[in-house]
Amino acid sequence: MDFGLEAEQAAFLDGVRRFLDQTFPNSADAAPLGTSDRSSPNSFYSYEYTKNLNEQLGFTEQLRRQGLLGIGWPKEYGGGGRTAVEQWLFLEEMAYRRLPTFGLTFTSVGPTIMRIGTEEQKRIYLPAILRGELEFGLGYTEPGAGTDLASIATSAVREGDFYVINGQKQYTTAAHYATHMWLAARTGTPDSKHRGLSLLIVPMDTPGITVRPLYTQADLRTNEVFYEGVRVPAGNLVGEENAGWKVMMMALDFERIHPYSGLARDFENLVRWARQEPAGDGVLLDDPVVRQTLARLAAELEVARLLTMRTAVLVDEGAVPNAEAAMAKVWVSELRKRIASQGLGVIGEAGQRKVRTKGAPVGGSLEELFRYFPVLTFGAGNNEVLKNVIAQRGLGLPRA
Amino acid sequence: MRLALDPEQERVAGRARELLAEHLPADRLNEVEALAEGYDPELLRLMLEARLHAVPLLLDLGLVLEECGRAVLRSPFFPTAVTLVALRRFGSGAGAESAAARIERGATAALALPGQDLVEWATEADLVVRAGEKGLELTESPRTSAVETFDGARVAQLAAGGAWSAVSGRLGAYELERLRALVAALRAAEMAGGARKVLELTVDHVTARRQFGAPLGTLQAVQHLCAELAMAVEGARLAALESLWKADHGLPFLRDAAVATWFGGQTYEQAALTASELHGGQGYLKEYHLHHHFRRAKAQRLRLGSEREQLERVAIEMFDERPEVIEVGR
Repeated sequence: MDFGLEAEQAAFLDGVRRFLDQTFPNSADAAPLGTSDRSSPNSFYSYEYTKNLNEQLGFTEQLRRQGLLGIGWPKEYGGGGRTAVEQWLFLEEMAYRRLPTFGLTFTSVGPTIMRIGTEEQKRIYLPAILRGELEFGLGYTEPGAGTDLASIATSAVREGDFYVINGQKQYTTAAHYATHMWLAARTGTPDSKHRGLSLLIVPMDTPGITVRPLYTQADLRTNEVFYEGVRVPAGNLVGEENAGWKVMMMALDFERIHPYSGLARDFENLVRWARQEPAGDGVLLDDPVVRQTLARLAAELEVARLLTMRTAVLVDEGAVPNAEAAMAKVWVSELRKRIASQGLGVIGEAGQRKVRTKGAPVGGSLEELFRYFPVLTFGAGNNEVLKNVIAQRGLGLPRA
Repeated sequence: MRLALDPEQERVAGRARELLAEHLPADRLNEVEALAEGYDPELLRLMLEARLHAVPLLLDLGLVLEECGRAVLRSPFFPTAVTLVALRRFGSGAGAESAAARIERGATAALALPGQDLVEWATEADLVVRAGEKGLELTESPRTSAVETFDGARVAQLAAGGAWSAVSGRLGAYELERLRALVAALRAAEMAGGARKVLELTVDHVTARRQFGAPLGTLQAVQHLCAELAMAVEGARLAALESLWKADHGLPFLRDAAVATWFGGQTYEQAALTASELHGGQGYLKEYHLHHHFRRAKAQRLRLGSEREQLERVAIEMFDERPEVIEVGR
């Protein structure tokens, strides 16, 4: 057992920190406040924010030159060949500094194409992803298929060298900026459940796609997307026809490590605020009830770090951490809820001030977090379903 | 970073597990608690003979204590081990050396921390060490008065007076705090072991117990309670062991120990409460052994001070001492 970084990991982290200090100094102060959602124009992860960073600082190009785009990809595909722990360290560092990463295009789509894509798909997509030119959106969820993805109804029918897609997707958060959709569609019979799905890459400029915005309570944009007679080449099929479920699960397997450091930063800002907010003869942080509330959350944040770290270490130890990754995800998202809710409770009356308005404590980031956090409890694996995963796969409890 | 155990860690934890499985199986807990001594002297002798209390690394001792926690070991083993830690790390001079050597050879000991009123196994110990501003002091004939506890651990109040000899130089507040935190972190490892065992008992029970024609464990309400416990149990274990690893490596560990202490107690107690609920009547009976964990979880937590005190230490370490709250990857 060793809780320390190995020499190479420490050197890598030092290098990343030095590079980020020099290249994007004070990024957290300069960044817009907000959630870690790429769809918010105000979010530090947003498409617009990345675009601005690219125009002003050559953000993507700098990361690419430093070998930090696709850091986990094998070297044969032009990646950094870094371990899971190193990828985790990098993601935490970026999240803490409120710098965007490129999400599932790099962590999930790329590795899945490497594993089961055709040679042609590898040649077309992988170099373009590494150049930062492609952004994939996830086209799984539908009005009738949320947590239960085996009920997907959008169909893809083979016609000669093409698949013709018809149907409706919902909550496709990246639809308005993605270049491609990673789309799950039914190629089997209507009742074929998870055995009749296929995974298709759909360029978003294909005729027949209509994107309609949906706005969430967090003022983030997501979309519903209509596919009407959308024709994509048969060569865009990833894996075999009707084996899409396997592809989706594989893509999910690659997407295990969710950084917690954005939340840690929010929490730190809250503590700093409480440390200088006058109360009685001293500051709010002197109040025993406030101290206890924040101390509990701080301890639980440490647990978030440990559970997240454990997932990364297990990957490097050769395991496929299913239940373990589920634990980290559930813990961090539930903690986000507590920090938003109890953090606002600590702030009190001034907490009602809206984000990015003058005088809002902690910049209003907690009220925004409060409106935002629910998506993290039901997105990327609904927490109740993930608790079943922990119970069944992790603890071996019987299925109903 | 590596979470798998090293061969030496496997060896010491495995040895503890074997001894405890042989001499303190769950169905002997009632009998052992009722013994005049309150513990099994033969098991203690074997554990000391195997030098499980004298492993050089705190992390390894934590792994041994995890096993003790699993087995609900109530015995002078814990105080003996932590007294040795105190003497080896904070003691000085020939007195400390000879006391430590005696403990390593199998003498039992008890440790009184500053401000501690109820000292575990002080009456039974061959020697008692107390820590305070004057440093560590030792006596072989403590004046104790026994106090009954609800978890069956034997504790005593130390009366004033008696013949105490110094076995260290003066200890400052920082050193005393480090000693207190080490003992707490070791207890946290023991509690994490107890919590894990309680989770396992619960999983076994809800898998075997059938109601409405199916195992209880098929019910989502039951699965979710177990899953919530599993997260906390993992977190409690890693927090305790990481704080000990840091102490072994000379790194600052007070904040980690503070987190592990509060969270370990919280988790063990929560595990016991959930287990009791899911075991129903069976877990409530003295015939079954869950009651040992149930009582132990709360009493161990209380030995670490009030929740207010425990959280205050987290607050001091994380809010007052440091400008930054998190340390990515360290």
